[in-house]
Amino acid sequence: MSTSVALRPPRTPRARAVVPAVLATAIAIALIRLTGTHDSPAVETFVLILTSIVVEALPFVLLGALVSALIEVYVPGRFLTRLAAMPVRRQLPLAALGGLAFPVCECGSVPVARRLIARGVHPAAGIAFMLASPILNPVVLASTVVAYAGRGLAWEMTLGRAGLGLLLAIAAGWAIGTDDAKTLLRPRPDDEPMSYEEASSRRTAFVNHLAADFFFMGRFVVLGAALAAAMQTLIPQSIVAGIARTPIIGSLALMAIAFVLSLCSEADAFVAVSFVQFPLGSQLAFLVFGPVVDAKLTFLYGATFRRRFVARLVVIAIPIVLAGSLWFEALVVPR
Amino acid sequence: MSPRIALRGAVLAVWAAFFLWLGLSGEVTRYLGPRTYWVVWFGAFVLALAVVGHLVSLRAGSPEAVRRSDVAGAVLLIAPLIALIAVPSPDLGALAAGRKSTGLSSLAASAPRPENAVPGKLDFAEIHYASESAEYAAAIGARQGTEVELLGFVTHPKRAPQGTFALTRFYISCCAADAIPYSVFIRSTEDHTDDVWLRVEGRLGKIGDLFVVDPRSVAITDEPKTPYLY
Repeated sequence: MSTSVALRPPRTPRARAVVPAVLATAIAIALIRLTGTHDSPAVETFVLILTSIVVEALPFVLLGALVSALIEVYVPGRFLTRLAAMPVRRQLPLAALGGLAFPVCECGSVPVARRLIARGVHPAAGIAFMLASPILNPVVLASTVVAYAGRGLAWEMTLGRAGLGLLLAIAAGWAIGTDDAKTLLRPRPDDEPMSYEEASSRRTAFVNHLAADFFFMGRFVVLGAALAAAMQTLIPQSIVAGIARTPIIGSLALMAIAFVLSLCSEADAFVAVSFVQFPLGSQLAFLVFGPVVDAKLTFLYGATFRRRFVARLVVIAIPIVLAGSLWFEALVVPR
Repeated sequence: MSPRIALRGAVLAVWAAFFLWLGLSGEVTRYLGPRTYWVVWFGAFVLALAVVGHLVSLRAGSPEAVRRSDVAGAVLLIAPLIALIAVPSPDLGALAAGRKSTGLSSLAASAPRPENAVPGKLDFAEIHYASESAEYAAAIGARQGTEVELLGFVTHPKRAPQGTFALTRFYISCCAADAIPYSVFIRSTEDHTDDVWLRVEGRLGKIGDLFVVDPRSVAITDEPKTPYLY
């Protein structure tokens, strides 16, 4: 008996960390069930919206992490060095237009942009790519065409969205990307460049990078979705929508709604087209602002970039989107 | 074997299993609209691929210990699934309808043009727009006395005319986050509590410009398998 006790392996840090987490989770579930909280309409609304946002976003976070890991492990350093050596004025528009070839929404573009910047691409170009790809990618443009085809405005809205999104991405990249990578990015251990000489070590490194990015970004997507779900559960949307009759207020109101809803850019056009009481310029503001700044992205940006990134982005995005939507309303929308 | 990779692989496997279950059980309709159903199969596929990648590198990787931050991150990542264990089959009901109603009469969805109307199709959205536009009402054949049958849940909006309660359904485009409520008022002396699902058969009537339903029969029923309209 005493021998078996003596041979028992010491408790590992894994066991010490996992056991309390499992216990706490089980107790929380039991409390919710026993107190009847699970039947509360507010709790049901919160859980349903939270889960639906996460279900929609998570595959794209994983896809973004996959591309990010490919860049880290398989894209030759000399290629990125050549790209980084280009003047910023060429890198920036090229990176923004690169979004046309990257069919991933906003959750996926953040880890990719982070990896590009960490590997030497100019921060301005990285930011421009990150902000442009959720708007310019082919799936998003196609969904915008389909959504507005019924209103006879497919090309006006799609080109307006692409043009204003490109302009915003380049302007924000130019204005925010003046910092160097170390000042801009929050540090993470896997930013250090490594060499992978054997195929097996490359595979392992690829899985490690993919997992690191997915787990890092994924939890902030959950936090952001929780914030969006809480706001949708607690705040009546009529507060925002009721003041939305004029183009300026309408655009600001739909930007606020885009922030709260935190929709995926690949499907948001179908929602935007439903806001028929708002001017078309305001709907354009919803389509351009939402993929750039929303509740879940606030957490992702906060985890990826250093302080004040979100504030600077909002200060740049609101006037550009507002001006663009008013210009669109005045000059493009048919009377 | 690396415990850290094993933990991450386990979290990915749980999510992959959840996506697969959503697709196979048909529960996907609770969370997503038809335009985004493909995300579930796509998610199940890429998550399963990531799990396989983790399994392959489980033995090749250095044996990294699990850190507290790894456990906290894993718990946070599966928090929505934990919430679903505590609150199984959550629904959007009267509370959500009140929060999501914008208060603007035609804000609920894109107003179809009369020329795009489907004659004879009289569901929540169509009746709603029939009240907004006489042209549209004529195009779909909505007039006083037209027979209708509606399946929805009970709500009590503040703007409800006296002597009515509302029957409501959510329309969604991509996911439950964009659900938009449509309500049709039922003129009845009998009332029901919020969130009770009813099948109402009757004829269209009017209160001012507003189409309402004068019910011939009202039956309490179960929530349909697909709770939303599209």
